[in-house]
Amino acid sequence: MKRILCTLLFTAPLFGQVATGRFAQGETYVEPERNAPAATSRMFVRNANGQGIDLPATGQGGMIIVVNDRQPKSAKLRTPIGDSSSKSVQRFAIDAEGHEVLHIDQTIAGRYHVSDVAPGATVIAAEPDSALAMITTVGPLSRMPGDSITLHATLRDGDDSVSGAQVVAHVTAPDGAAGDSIALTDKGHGEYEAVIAELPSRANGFWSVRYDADGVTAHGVEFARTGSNQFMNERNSAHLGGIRSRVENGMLHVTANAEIAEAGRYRFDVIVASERDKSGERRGLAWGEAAQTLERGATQLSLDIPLDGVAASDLFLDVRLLNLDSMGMAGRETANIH
Amino acid sequence: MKRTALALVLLLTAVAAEAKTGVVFIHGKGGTTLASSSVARAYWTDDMIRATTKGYTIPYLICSYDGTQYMWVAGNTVAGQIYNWMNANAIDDIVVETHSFGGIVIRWIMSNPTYDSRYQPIINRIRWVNSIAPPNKGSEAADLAGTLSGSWLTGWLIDLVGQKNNSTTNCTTSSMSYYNQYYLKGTSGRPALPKTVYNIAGYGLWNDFAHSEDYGLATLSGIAGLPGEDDGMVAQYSAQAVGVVWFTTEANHHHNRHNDYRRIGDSLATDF
Repeated sequence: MKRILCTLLFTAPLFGQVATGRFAQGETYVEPERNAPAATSRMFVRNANGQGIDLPATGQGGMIIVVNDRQPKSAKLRTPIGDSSSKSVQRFAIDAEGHEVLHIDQTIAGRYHVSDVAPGATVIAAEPDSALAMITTVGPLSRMPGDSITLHATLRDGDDSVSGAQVVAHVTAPDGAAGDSIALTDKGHGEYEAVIAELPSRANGFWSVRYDADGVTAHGVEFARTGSNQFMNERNSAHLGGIRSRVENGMLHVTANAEIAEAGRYRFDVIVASERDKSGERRGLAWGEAAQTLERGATQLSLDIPLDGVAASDLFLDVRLLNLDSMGMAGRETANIH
Repeated sequence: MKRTALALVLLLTAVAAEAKTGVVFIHGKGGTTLASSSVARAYWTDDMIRATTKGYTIPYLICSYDGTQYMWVAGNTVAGQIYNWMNANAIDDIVVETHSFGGIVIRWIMSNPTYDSRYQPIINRIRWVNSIAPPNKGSEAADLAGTLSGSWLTGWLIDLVGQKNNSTTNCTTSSMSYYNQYYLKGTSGRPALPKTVYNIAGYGLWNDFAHSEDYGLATLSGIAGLPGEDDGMVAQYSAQAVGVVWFTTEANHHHNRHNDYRRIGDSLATDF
């Protein structure tokens, strides 16, 4: 009884700051993307060990070479045919410390060799005009505790897929701690994938995934590519469920049950959309949000959203509980109202 | 034209109601020293501020915040400065000028009115926002910081890309995709922002051969793989992902916060 009275007295909106609004006329509601946006790379990274570095070029346009060396000095470049004085190589001083960037107007397919680079230096080589690209993604973008993570890379040489390459990934925690290398499996047709069930640590926040690919195209041209994506490793701060709703006098009342594991500031968000039209799209109709401080344990969340002029049948609700102390999604549920 | 007509109507309305107009500048990400007002002023340059404020005749505020922090940390600092300034000076019609990450900081404030009690009063007084080169869908240049995480980088690359700090993480394409879906309004498929954003995207790289920044931006554009047109740091598709396109500029990311290569300050001044 005490608990019910307490719940009635302290139902969230009594504390919370509430905002509601309408979608712009004709605006489509879009569900959150499952995966990180695809990243396309035409560059690769090499670390110097004092022996010089080989840079495989596809011969498809120019190449930009950036030598990140603590001691700025002129790195030497040798073309695949052994020429060290090629006029097609231009050097640009890029800072007052004497660092240079090398531009090759048109590469020859094969290995360029960079020497006079100190151990530990990082060399970046980019082929911005090349048709050989690595497209990477990672999913889910919002990784809830227990979700497995799919690492995916696609290798294309123009319209041709590139199979048989070695593709490895490294995941790095938000604090910079790097995990072991993970080999992606060649799934054929230029697709490479690995699924990992666990991360090296439970650190919350954005993890980085770096992909490194080395291979040979169907035309026998050696290449390398490096790319990256990120995903959010969500904290196990709360659980959202039990979505209920009703419409009365033009007002949508939405309630949900939340089990709060970490006390703190949260926001209860509700987005109201239409049912799918013939093209499968939903129109965005209205939204509401209530920010509030929640204690550990079970609580009920509620929000009232005006539906002025909106047909109150066949609605779709996208309900979220967002963490406001340490940004991240605590829970998301969807529901249909008929 | 529509924008000019709206400005005229708002100006007349403001005069009729004796509204006091002011302009707020919000810089982009960078180092911790951007928390200093003198460093923030130098970020924009005096000529940009002079041009935009019509010779300092419009009351103005140059916000300053630690340029290494997340949008919500920067947002609270900026909100505190705007809130105190607008109340102290009775400013009730604010035009906001942002550059780069500054456009994300003001989007944070406008998208999250319940996050801080100062946000809604500020939103109420904003006329509109002019957002120069905002990475609304992130920047592939910021992604490069993640790719190169753990590598030693030369100073010019760090100056442009930023260390892998919180503001750089905030600006990656993955992070912005996440924030656009859950915390920020204004992109396609999300609720609209409460006030209109007019975006200005850059498409030039080689503006001024006297500045090494131009070499750096052109190189960065090539190695980061910015798709389509870009200003060396932010691609046009990303800058134009929120709001209404005002104009595009040949000025690159270094010059499009100044009034030098292209007279962007003169354009901003047409609001007053």
